[in-house]
Amino acid sequence: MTPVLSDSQVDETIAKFKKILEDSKAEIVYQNKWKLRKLAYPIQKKSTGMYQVIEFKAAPSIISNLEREYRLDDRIIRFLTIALDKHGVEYNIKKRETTSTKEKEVKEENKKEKKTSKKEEEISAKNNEKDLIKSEEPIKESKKEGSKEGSPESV
Amino acid sequence: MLVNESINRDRTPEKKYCRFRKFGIKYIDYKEHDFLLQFVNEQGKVLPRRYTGNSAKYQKKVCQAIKRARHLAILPFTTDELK
Repeated sequence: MTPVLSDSQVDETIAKFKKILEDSKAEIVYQNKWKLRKLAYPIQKKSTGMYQVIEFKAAPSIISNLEREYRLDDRIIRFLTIALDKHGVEYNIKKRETTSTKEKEVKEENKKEKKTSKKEEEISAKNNEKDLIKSEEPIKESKKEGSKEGSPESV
Repeated sequence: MLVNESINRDRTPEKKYCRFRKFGIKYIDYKEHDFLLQFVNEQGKVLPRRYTGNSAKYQKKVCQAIKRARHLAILPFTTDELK
């Protein structure tokens, strides 16, 4: 089965948004790709999607630009940008530490899967963590969701 | 001699507690599907505080996490047979 939305196209989309972040001098802390996931309800008639989580630190002014880019891109179906408070940051750090030490992964972080969708759209969920230059700053998390229509039985 | 059974016969209700406060959990991740299923009924609706025993503060956080998860299609808005 030939995947229509190949890994390279997904990576391209992710790279595009990373570039936007880097141009505005955001610090990317962490990024994570989930495997192709079944959506809880169909979005744009699609039942599966690719998720991407990006945590970054940036000044507040770039967020509106970033979200505008998300809306314009056809490959992104849903996105969510949130501000992470200090508990959220701690939680994420802790989570990363435990996942790197453990061999087996039960949670979303370590799953990787090939895409077998037929359409060219992809969803990536991004986690963005935002931090201003000063000591205490609000942190944002943004999540993008891209979807691809998957065939019922993946091959 | 016939005696009627007394109502409320020596029944002390179970002590309910807020699991977040008890275990010191401060942040509820909206990305965790399995964890959030505990606070949602079979139809996908959020369970009230009196069932789950959450304190008001954490109930709000749970609610917010569930709504974010619904936006990202991690949890459904409404369904049957969720569990």
